[in-house]
Amino acid sequence: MPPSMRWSSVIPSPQTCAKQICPNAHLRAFSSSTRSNAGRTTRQRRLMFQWLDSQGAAFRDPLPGSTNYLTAYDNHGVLKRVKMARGSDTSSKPADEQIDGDELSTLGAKSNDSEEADEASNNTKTGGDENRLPPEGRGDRRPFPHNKSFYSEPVLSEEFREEIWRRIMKDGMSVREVSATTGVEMRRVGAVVRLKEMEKAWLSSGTPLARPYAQAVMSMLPQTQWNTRLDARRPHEPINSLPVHEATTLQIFEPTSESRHFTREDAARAFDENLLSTDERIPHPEMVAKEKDLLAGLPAELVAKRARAREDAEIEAKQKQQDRIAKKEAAIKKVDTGRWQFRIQEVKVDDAGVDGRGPRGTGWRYGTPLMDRSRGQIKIPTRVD
Amino acid sequence: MADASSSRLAKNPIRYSVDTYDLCIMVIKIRLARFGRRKAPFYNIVVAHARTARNSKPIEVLGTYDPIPKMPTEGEGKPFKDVKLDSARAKYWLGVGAQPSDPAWRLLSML
Repeated sequence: MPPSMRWSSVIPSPQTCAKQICPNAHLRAFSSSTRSNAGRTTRQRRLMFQWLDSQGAAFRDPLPGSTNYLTAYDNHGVLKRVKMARGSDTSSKPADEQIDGDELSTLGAKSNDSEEADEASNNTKTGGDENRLPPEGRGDRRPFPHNKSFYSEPVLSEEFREEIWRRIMKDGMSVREVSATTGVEMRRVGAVVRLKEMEKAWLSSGTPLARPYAQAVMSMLPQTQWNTRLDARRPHEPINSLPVHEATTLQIFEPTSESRHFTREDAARAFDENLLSTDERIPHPEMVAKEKDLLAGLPAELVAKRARAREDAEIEAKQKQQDRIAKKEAAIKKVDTGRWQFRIQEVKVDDAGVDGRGPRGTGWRYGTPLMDRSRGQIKIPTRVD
Repeated sequence: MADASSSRLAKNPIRYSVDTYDLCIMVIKIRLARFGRRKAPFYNIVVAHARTARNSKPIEVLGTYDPIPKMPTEGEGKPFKDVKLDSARAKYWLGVGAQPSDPAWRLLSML
């Protein structure tokens, strides 16, 4: 129990208080300006009002349909990208720069005089598009000015996510295929489809969606828009980067002879017995194979043919595996009792061998000690998968 | 009267040799032998002489029964219990007069 505070000894009574600024000053737990220093103009106060009048004014009413990050504005509260577009447009007459700046500041700050702002935006480089701002560059997407390495990354637009869902669920394309054609990482494709499915289930069940909220958030975020032509849009993210496997984070000193041809397979084995090589662990090995073919100088039709052949072989292998599993499953007799399902699998007594201790035999073996309780055996699982 | 009969019995006790009887009949049972750990039972379905110990070496191991229900990996459907059994050998032993115990009977009846 904490010691009880002796208020009477700590806080002076209003009569003994030296300054007598505010009789209840000792009751305030927060910092606030008092009457006497309210008029005092400190440097910080001056800077604050300066910022509020210039750059800060832009944030009084956020720019609709655009990101609203601190770094997108210059010291005068003008959108940098508008200024740049304007600058490239009027580079021939630098004398008007001051006037332009004023015009642009009205645009950037979205002042009450919206007509003027519209005019200003019409004057910008984008010409035909009314109210259309130039697209924000990477430098405009830094929400934290002191954190130079953080950029607000674009998110998938509503249309884009719908398209991904359509390709997977309606067209029956594989996740890998969709990822390769849309330039979205496979895990994200999976997440988009799952969330879309949930959204559609909610729609069908009549659960209300928070559409206005979603629209408001989306309008403030940089987005990757859907475009049917892959070459016409930038890929949303790098899709073929190698995920860091936990086993590879160790620093290993692996002595080997100079003459040895140390391959990626060897490197993987050095990290872990069961670790696949990087070539097999990357998300899109088929893209690498295709690129290798192209680099080898094969004609385009042959490259396409080989890619198709690889795809077919992969599908066939997958089908074979599925058949094997289905066959195994079909061999198991299933009996439904009330609570449980009994799965009766046929075995052969003779598999146990002559002495009944063969490794393929069924059942708990006789005369073989179990080592699970002996010294050195790990009883507590070291990892949960 | 009662005294007389009891004295007769004492004089000529009827001696049934149970061991001899069983050896003649040679009861073979199909039963479960409990293995596994504490609170984690696992059974061998075995063919054994009726009078041998539960976990002694049997004549034959027909299969196994795991009574702990497992959840299906898809997350849908009933929990299941695994049974592994050589049904041909089980039928053979039943044919030559092996007597299943009640739990073994319940398992064999599902075949």
